[in-house]
Amino acid sequence: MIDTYQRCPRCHKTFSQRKPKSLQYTMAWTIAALIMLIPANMYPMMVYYKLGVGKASTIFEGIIQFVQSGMLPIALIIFIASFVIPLGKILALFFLMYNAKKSQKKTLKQQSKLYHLVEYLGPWSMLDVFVVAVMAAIVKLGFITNIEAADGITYFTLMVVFTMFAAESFDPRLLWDNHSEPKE
Amino acid sequence: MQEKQPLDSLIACKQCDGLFTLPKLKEGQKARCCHCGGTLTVFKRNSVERSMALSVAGLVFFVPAVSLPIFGISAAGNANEASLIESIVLAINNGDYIVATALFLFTIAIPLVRLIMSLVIHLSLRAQKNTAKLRTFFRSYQNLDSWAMVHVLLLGVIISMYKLGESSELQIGTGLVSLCLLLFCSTMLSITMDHQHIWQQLDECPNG
Repeated sequence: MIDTYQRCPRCHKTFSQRKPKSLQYTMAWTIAALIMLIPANMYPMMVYYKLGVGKASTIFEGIIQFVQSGMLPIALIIFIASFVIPLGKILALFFLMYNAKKSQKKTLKQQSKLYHLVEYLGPWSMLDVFVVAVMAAIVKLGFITNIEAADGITYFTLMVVFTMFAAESFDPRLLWDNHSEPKE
Repeated sequence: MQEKQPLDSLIACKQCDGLFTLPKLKEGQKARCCHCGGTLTVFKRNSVERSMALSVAGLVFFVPAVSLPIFGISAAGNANEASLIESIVLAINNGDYIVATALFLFTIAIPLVRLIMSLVIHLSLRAQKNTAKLRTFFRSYQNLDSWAMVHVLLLGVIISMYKLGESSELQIGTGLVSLCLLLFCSTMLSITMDHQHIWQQLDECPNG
């Protein structure tokens, strides 16, 4: 009943009381994102050619490079944007989906805020992708230095897009449904 | 149910579905949901004029932001610079189609479309041309909100500059300045645009 489509009497657009099949779509997208997480971290993000010698680096290796050259704040930003946020989003979505089925009333307001956070932080995981894309375009100095983007970036982009789709298909009102009084 | 309230005076919280009576707000006031803290509605100051001005300004800054070089690098006698469009073309040539698509969509297409959409909506409402199609139009505008990533791009550019700055000389391009201004306009636009007001105006239209 709650999932069926109804037509708006004024403008005939279809809508439903809750996003239809919200949990199924969210679970599907979240699992897809989780699957993408593996190649995203295993394949290198970019290849740094210095005087003809190429050095491929994954996200993690890139972060370590920043730490070694002393740029700790940047290493932290990239660590947060490329590891903490995507992983956090996936875990948070699993947590929210579990709560949509059977939740504890005490933390309901925090759960709502968690969803809001997941939705808001969505685009920021794309940070590393943009960094590599921009560097690959600009650092084209022929033989001396050359940067090229590698396979890992594609998987990473897909992973971020999947988590954004997952957050969009989740209906936060489901969290509250467990606690509303039964209507007539 | 119990007493019948006219639908126009009710508002539902988007996050928790709590139903409230629409409060009479003064200019600049905001109503919050008691249950979950989400914003119910805001009455924004001088929304229409400011939004239209910002949309036009954003569009003006858009063209140089995208086509002029973001920044340039020079080391050991070689120099190179690239714009946003050049980055995308380079990604395509390299075979990274998904990255190129993502770059194009999230930093060029969607921000541009949103600016144009905001202008179209305000102009249509001004010209009293309300239709049911305009509602779907505005709904898509709201859905596209989280997919415009110019701010992430800008942080990415800053980080690249930081990393490259230690080994080579950098030159800030006009494209970067325009990007910052574009971001400023888009952000201000999302602040000044009064969605509730627009929906109310859309509601007043006869079935079209």
